[in-house]
Amino acid sequence: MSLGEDLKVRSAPLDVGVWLVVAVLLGGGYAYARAMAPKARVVRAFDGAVSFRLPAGWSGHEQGAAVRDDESTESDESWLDAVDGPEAHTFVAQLPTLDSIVPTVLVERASDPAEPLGPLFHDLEVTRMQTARSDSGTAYRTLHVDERPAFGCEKTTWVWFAIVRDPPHAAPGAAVLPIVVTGVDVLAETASGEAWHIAAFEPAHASEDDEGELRRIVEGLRITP
Amino acid sequence: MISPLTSSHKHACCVCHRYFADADLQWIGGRTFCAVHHERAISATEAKWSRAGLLEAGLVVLFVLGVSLAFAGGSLPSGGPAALLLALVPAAIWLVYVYRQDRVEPEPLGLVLGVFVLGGLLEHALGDPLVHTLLQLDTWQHRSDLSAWVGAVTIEGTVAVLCAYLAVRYSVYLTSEFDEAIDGVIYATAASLGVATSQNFDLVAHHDHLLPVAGATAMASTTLVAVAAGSLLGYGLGRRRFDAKEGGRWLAGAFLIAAVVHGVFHELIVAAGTSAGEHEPLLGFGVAVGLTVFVLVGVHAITVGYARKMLADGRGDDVDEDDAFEDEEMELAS
Repeated sequence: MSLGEDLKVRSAPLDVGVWLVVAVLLGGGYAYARAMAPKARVVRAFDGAVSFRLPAGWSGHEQGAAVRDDESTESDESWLDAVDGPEAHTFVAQLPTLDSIVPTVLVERASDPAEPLGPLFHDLEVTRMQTARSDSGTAYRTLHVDERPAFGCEKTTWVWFAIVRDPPHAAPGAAVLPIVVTGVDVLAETASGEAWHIAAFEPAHASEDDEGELRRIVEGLRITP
Repeated sequence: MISPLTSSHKHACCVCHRYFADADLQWIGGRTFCAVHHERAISATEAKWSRAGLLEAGLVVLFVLGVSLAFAGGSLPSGGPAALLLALVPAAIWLVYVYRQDRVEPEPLGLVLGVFVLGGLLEHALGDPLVHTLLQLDTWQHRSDLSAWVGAVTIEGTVAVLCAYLAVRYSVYLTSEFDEAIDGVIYATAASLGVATSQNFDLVAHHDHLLPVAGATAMASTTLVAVAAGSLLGYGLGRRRFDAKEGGRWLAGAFLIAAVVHGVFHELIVAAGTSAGEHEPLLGFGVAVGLTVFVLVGVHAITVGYARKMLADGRGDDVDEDDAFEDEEMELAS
């Protein structure tokens, strides 16, 4: 028979049972995924002077001292195992991926608390911050500079930048594509006379999700005044 | 020589759709057959075992071997036409097998192929976005062994079976061509193979440097799982269509079992193909072939069982020619 010949079409009632099964299975799977999803956690570093809210999937550790993770299910011992670099005092938060340069947030003390802060210190520190960033790659560009209250501090200076870097562990002159990195260096000065350097960067053209998470981590950072 | 008559005569052969005098027609299960197709239907139901399934199983093994040898030392082509061809071969093998299961009244090939294509389109347009974009299965399925099984059954299996269900339920199921319970198996399996073909196409087209053995075994296994789940779903659709009282429950139960089988078979193949962190695609394929035997026996038993039942019914005076829809409409009217 050719298609259409003697082919009668009729209506049929809805298969309620099937749709119930579909709703239960899909709903159950979705509920399971939500229940098992790692939760965002608050991480404190530098003896509680700095606190972060790290999204699921991000790792964080303080180089040189232990980090207290308020909501982590892991024991303190496992966090101590992750600590390395006893000389430095930098907090590192990263989103582990297979990319050679991953979204990263760094926090470190920018000054000796014994020294008073002031306009001269501010200008020198911003210059030092930019020079250090410029030395980490080539084609350094300052994209934008802004000053505003943030992190619970009255005065913060934001320097948005772009820079070109070789992939980590690439031999000099190796035939690899360099990576354009974009990010921000922030100098934060507290009322108590402490200065902090916050850096956040990621490869240019990273996913919007990664970019959004990076922005939320930085904006959600809190420094004890 | 029996010659066909015009449509003014009352009955036509349900296979060739040509009209014959009542004296020249034979009845099976409430449907009329001309002498030629009646003899073919009778002989089909007398077969205890079909060599077709074994032949197709061998062809799938040959497909894996052929792809592995043809692309040995390299990777599978990820280009559109080549990827589509690779995805179509195992589906075509099983499509021939499934099509031949309806020995009493073979379905129009165009309709079977149409449902196959519709299943593939639904998977591409609905299933894939639902699984990967909306429910984001990739982000949580590999967190634990339990997550893998839950995701495979509740998301992957359910959505794949849902696509096959929609492809049949809102197309050929509503037509007069869906006139015996075994048609559900034929069309649902065809739709399920369409879904599997779309998944296989995505696998090849979106993965550069896919190893030949791994790719071939993955595609063959995907179609095997599709045949198993599709035949179960089809059994439920057939019961739904011709059993007004219990058909709804049968279909819901069959849908649930098909989704579970889809997910469980998939994870069993993955587990067998992953040993101590190493990928052993041939081991997984071996399990898939083992599951094939199970599927073939099941489908064959269902097919021949139905055919023999219809043969036993003879003219079918005890078989209600009205289907479940009409029964339900009468119940509603009363």
